[in-house]
Amino acid sequence: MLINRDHRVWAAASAVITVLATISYVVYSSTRPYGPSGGSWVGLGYGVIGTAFMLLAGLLSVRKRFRTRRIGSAQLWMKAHIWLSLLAIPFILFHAGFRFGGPLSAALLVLFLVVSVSGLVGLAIQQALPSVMTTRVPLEALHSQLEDLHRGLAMNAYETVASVAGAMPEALEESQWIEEQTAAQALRPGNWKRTTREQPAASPSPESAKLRQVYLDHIRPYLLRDGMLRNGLLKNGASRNARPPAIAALLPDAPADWVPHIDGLTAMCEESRQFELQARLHRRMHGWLFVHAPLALAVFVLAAFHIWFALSYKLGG
Amino acid sequence: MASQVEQQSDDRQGLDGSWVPLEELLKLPLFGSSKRAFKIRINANFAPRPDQAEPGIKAAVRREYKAGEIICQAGEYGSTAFLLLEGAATAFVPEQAQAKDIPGRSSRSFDWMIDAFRRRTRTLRSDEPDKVEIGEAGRYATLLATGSPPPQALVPGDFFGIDACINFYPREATVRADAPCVVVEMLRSVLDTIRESGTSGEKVEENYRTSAIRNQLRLSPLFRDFDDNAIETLVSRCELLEPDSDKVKDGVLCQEGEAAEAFYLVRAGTIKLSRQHGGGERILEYLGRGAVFGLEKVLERRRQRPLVLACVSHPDQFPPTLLRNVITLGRTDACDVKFPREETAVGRRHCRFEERDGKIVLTDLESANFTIHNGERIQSVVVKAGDRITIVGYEFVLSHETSDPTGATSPILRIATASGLDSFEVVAVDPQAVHEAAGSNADWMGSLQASAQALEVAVAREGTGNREIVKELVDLSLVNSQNTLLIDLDRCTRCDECVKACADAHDGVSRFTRDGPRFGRYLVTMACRSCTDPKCMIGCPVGSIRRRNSLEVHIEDWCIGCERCANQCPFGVINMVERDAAPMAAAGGDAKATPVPLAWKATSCDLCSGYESPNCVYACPHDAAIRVNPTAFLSAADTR
Repeated sequence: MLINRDHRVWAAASAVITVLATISYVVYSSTRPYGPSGGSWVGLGYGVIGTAFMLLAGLLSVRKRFRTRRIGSAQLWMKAHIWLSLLAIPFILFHAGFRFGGPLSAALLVLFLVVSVSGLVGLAIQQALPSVMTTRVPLEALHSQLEDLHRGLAMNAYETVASVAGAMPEALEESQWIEEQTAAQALRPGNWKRTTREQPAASPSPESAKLRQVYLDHIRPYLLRDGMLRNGLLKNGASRNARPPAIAALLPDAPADWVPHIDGLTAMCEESRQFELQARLHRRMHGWLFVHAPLALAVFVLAAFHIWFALSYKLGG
Repeated sequence: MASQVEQQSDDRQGLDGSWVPLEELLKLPLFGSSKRAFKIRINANFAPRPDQAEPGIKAAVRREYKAGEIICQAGEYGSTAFLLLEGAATAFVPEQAQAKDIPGRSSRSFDWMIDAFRRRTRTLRSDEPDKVEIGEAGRYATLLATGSPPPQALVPGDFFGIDACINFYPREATVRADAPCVVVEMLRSVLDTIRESGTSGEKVEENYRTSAIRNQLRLSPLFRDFDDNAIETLVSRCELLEPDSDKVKDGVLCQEGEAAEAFYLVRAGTIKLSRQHGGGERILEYLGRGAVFGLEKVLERRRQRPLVLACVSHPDQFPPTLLRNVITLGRTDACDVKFPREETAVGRRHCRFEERDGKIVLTDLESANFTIHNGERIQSVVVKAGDRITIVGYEFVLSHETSDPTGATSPILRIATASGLDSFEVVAVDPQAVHEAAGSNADWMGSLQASAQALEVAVAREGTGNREIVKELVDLSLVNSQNTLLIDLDRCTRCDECVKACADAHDGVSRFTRDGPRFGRYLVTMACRSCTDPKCMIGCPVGSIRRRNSLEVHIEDWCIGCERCANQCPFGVINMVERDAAPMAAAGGDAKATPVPLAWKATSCDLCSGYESPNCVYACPHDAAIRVNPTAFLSAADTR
């Protein structure tokens, strides 16, 4: 949620400046017999102001490198970034006179508009998605730890099933991870949490073959993020508390002492689903920056060339 | 960095001031009786390094004050105690201790906000929830602040500041030097050493308990009319209860239904009042510092006298029966009121009396010949004294009991169970002692009962709202938190700028984790909560984890890396990190307390000491990270 009532002053100021700039542009363009020009003093003025707004907005990325410096709070810089970027759009368009001009200025204008649109898209995404993630991912975890958590769930599921159905050579990865984890824990200092794991059943009952099969066919590929099988087990939007059909099918024949294990496996699948959803939402929330940030840098580079050539022409000619 | 407040020197080892060597400490009378034990403990943790004249950690320092100078100030979060060696001083409670701002947020009024944004904006209470109140239980604090205890003269040999040192509450009193004074200021680790050592420890404990009881009585409006003599008489009859006291069992101070004797003044901690309800428990109230409870006997509010069932048609056959819990009437042996077996018109289990929500309910158990209540056939009805019950040819009348059937005087019963949720200190006051202290002064007792009544009314009135929220706050252990980092998840874009800023401010290692339980749409992060009752500070062998003069918990650079604080923190927010050198290597250290290499150091959120505000909040571009007093904020906020 980026835009809220705290932005009212910025919004009002931006609206007023935009209206004043538009009025001045209308007056200016109506007095020019050959239409507005970026090369005129007024046109240059629009360009200078628009570029200044762009530069100030772009300083947000610099500000983020000095997080602890008291040079204005990050909220202030974010507000400035949003509203000055928006303000830059009319000024740059007025500067261009709504024309593309030569190849350099056309490229610059197109890039500028792409950056502006990507920024607006990003703004809309970051406005909406945080609350979506809050609501739909109650088990949200640290994004940087999602891979480890997925692996942890896979290990836990293996442990749960193996405690009933015995060791499973097919799940080699999981058993190796468990061994690695046990070895790593032995080296940690006292303050670290240690996990005690249940051993695989030495003599599993014949009925456990069904549980083992469901695990190997459905649960394990799901937890290991095999895309082909993933949606088949637990679809997003499906009832979150319901057992996936493949797991639920185990219940009629399951001994009573399996029920906690089956519930545990259901919970692990649900957790995995939420982690997957979180990862997807996180990518959407920040993915647009991969377009916005580099193109913004490109705009500044092209703008520098544009200014250099324009001033050379203006002053030299 | 112009705006950055000058940071306290990190290379300072222990307290500022001139060191009091061990030999000199041992000459003081207070330390005399336990020289050996004391010497061992002090040497282990604070011995001078071979190449230095002074110790690695100055655990006790000598200070001198001129007449009129303030030695310590009420409201400060000092975690040291003082021993007056020379001179004279006065301890007094100022009219109103000043609340301190929590850095990181200022409150504003959002009353005008647009409806469309209401869901998205954060509302703050108008009474500045970001402030820490002195006497945390807000509503009781107002009742509490009716007066100040009289100034107390301190003479050489007196200890003061022990409460702040032990309980980590703000100092209750200001101490001013009346004449040139010399004092020894000491860290908690030294005080603990004294407390645990022989007769000196007992003396300090006794001194602390007496002083705590006296102050609590003085601060309570219940005793505002009692003079000094009466208070002193009362002090000797009161008891300071803590979780490990003999009279406290599993944290329970008093149990619903048991005979009421003492009443209680909460000095520290959180007390839960509850009643049995159905098979579970109904929470009546959570009480904080300054609260009073268990006033049943003072108010002489007798329990609702139980009903007695008496048979008027066959009085010889059925003795009067007290209607308590469940009473069944019928022919079987299992019934409480047993009819003759040959009386087949009466059902085997004919009807039943049972207590529900304090009322007695009569239920017919589908008998063939009905149960008649005041001439009408009933299925279920609430009964009262004077009602007539007819079962076939048997006529019963209900009346209030006048005394127990055994003939003993009916005691006044507790109406609720009181149990402590954390480390508490409660003063138990015997009403009989109050009567004796008041002597023939009827006005005092009248005033006490009026105040008690006012307190009860206040609790009843204010205790009705937000119980669910309070329960959730208790479940998340937030009631004792004074300053918590919350993240509004509807605003947070999970950019981790807060974590990066924290790491930037602390040598690349973040002091918190952006993870934890949720309260509505707020994430309660794993960051130090500045507890009112910081368990992390208990037992630090070198006193390196403490509050300086403000709310935040500091882990000083003389930490020896023993992990005790990290293990004791209930929220797991203290982390051990490696450090480059081990400056304390030569100091030795308590062998039991330092099993890990000395290159480890405990770290915790220090609210960015040295900066104007916490960096996590300052660096959040979306105003999602906030530092607040969670109880005040979340009780008022729209957390949906």
